[in-house]
Amino acid sequence: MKILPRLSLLAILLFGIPVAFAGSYPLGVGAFGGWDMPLVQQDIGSGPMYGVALRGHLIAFLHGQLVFRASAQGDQDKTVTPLGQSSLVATLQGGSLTGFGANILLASKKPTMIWPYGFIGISTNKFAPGERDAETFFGTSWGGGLSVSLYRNLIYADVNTSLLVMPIENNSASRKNWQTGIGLVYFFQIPMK
Amino acid sequence: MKKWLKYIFPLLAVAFLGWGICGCLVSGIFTLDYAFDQDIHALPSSTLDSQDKVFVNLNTIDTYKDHKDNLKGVESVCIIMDVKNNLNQNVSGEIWISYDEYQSKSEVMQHGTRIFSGIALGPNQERHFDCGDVQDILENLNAFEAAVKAGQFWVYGFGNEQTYDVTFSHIVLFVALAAGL
Repeated sequence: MKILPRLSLLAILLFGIPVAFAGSYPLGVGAFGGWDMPLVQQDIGSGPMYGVALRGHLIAFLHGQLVFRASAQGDQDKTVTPLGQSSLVATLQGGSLTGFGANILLASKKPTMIWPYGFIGISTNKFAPGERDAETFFGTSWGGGLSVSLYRNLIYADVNTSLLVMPIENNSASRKNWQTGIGLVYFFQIPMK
Repeated sequence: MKKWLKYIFPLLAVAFLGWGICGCLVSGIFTLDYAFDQDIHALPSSTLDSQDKVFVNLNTIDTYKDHKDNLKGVESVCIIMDVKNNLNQNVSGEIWISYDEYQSKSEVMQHGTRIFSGIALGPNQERHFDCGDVQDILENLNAFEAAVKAGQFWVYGFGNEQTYDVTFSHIVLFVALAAGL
């Protein structure tokens, strides 16, 4: 799928819309770390995740978010018993999963002290298992999060969790990863005419 | 203008959810290992005997049996094994597969698929191969994965010199399957 052009369009929308705002436009820049847990994937294990995100208000209760994240996919040790030998441990090397995506957030328009949100998103993901060829997967995400103001609704602590679903085998199956992150978001106040 | 806005997110969410649960969400990646029940002792000969080949039947593995009716694809395959050159000269080993059983090397080379070559061994050398080593020299991966998906196939070991004596032992096939739950 031609995801990148779509993401680019969303980026233009995301950063184009502030022009229409009067006063100042809060643009959130955040960084997060967390944990990526593959679901029903016996060939890879869980691992740490980190990422950065940009967040801005779009219209009404809709906000846009661009996200880059990278996570380590842990090794999986399997015990095998070859003919005439005692058991030995074979390791399936994990690798990495990196993704660039765009989310639509459902949240109150104005920043609040406690700022919950839900989101759906699309992403392009590169899955690079340690000893196999890297593959690129389209992904969709569902999730939610909670931002808590630390300073005048400008700096937020943010915790979010989401299910990333990446169809494989002609959409007949999927790799699913549960991703949870915690981080900080700073809202720059961009002056508008 | 704003009236439709309050419906767009729920509609999008329902569309996403509908797409997600229409089959692909209810699936997983399952691994299985299959230990060959005999070694392969490859010697040059006009006809292949039972030591030159092994029948692989994944139907004897519970993970495969449990998912074979809802198998979506093969995500990865690899082979763990020891390979020994029994001669005092350099040889290079290779592994072939076929759906049908063949009685000669030429038949295998005509109808089968080579999945593994370039196993270079010095005089009387023995090498252990694990998944990481094998992944670099596997070839015709699509055909190999198709055979694994089918669940039953023959495996042959050869040397690619005029004279060879190679033993492929302690062979374990390692597979990751994509399947419905």
